[in-house]
Amino acid sequence: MITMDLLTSSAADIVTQIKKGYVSTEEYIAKIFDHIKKVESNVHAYISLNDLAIERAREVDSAVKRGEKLGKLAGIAIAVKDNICTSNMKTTCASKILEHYIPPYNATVIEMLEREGAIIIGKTNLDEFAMGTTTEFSRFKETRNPWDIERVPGGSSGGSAASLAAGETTLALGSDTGGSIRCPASFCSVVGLKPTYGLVSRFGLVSFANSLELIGPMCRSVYDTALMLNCITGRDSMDHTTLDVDTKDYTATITQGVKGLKIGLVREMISDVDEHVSKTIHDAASKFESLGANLNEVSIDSLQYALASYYTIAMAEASSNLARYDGVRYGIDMGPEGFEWNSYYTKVRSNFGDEVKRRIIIGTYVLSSGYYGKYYLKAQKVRTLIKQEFASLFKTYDLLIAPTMPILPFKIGEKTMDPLHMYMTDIDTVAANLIGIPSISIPCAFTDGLPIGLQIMGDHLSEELLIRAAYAFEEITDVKKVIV
Amino acid sequence: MMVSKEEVKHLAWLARIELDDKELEVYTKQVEQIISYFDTLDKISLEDIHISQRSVPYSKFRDDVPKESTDNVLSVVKNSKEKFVKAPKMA
Repeated sequence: MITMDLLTSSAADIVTQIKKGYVSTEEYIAKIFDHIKKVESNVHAYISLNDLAIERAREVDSAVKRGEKLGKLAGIAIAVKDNICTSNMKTTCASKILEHYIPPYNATVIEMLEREGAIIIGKTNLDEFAMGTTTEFSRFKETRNPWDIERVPGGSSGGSAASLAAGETTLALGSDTGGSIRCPASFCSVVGLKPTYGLVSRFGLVSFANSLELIGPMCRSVYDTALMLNCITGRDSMDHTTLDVDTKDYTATITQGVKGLKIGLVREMISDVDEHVSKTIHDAASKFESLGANLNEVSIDSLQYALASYYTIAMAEASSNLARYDGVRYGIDMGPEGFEWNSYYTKVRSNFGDEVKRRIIIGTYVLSSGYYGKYYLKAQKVRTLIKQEFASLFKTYDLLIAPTMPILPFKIGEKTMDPLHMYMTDIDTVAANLIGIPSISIPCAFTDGLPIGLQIMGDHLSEELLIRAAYAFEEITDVKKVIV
Repeated sequence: MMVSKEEVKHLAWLARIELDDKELEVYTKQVEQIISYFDTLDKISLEDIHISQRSVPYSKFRDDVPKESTDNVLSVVKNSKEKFVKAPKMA
């Protein structure tokens, strides 16, 4: 046995030791569960834990002893956002509507990760149906930021980010509709990648806004992010929006650096942000220059309309998607006997939380016949305009950088009563979702004990470049990613 | 854009969401605030813009061949009779 800190080490290191038989998977998983028991009363990252995880760990250890070929993530603990379907565990979406729901199937990403030997240790907290920026809209618990438990962890994948930063898992899965992977990654000082739309299957991700969202990896290092991405990409016959592209090894080119790359700092994304954030991101830009990249400030005029376009489309799709919750086929059961359809349907849906109800109502508004042209159609046109502006920039620039979040992690309860103010904090993340490009948030620095994330965006399917740049940046910075 | 209580009440009914008086009060204000923000979309000329298709093509459609479902989908239905789902009666 060798001595390594199993709570803070990378997946890449742990899996190497497991395969050599130097680390017992059972001990490692048990250690994580002990740690969860110790810190969960402060962090509240998990909605449920997997009782079968230890059994799975023993199976991995037996396979090691038998000398069997093991998967890329053999024995590695992974926390899964609770809007991704798992057939042996509840998938609640942090909603009363799905409080006891156990899906009859696994999401494609779950099948793929388990095939590579990963062990799901639990399902993590989120804003109800992934609608939020702080995880405060969960109907079950308030996840706290491990760096300052008075503050929000970001959202909506707040549980996944917090569990990583608190050493309660080694890897995590999140989903990102308008920044829901990158925002909590930024607020909790971990790495979060929203891949190109279509690169990862959405089958088994509970739909909120299908044309915008994707599942992606959340990790404590860029290398682990690449390793995890290797395991979840590819065409899926269950999701026809997945792309017919070859799978890649994203770790193969990771050390190639940024020398000679053209990087643009997006003016509109940094002009109106907290001064600490602005200074940190300008410093980061200089670091890329010192690594040999060519750096320029660039402008994307249509970004001023991105947030209005995003929320119009996201709410429209939400109102349509969430129509399925009728309390009849699955989810909450209030006893349909003796009820008339409409009154039963309405009664069931009174179980949605405030933010979800608000979004359904506004989504219904922008899709209603009198306003469809005024809002929804215009929002789609703005989406096209933004796409065109980005496309023309990508003719010259390899990558674009910006802050992930315009502000530092704020106090719990500070913005819940002012929804529009809360939406404004998504200002820098929504563009990548509107146009389907990949975007990664990586830990950049701490100011007054609070993390700041750097966002790197690239053209469609440029994940290799993103990961290369993120890795080069990580190599020359020393930012804490875990507190145990 | 002004948004009235009656409008919000009607939208809530369309979405089958029940709102009490207090909720209606709060939601009307918030919906109006958010819709007014969406009105920024009026400031931009979009006449020459045609909604684009996805830049990366979708995967090819598979052949329409029926397959047996491997999942026991009905296992999650609490109110069922034989292969049917029991639902409240239509008025």
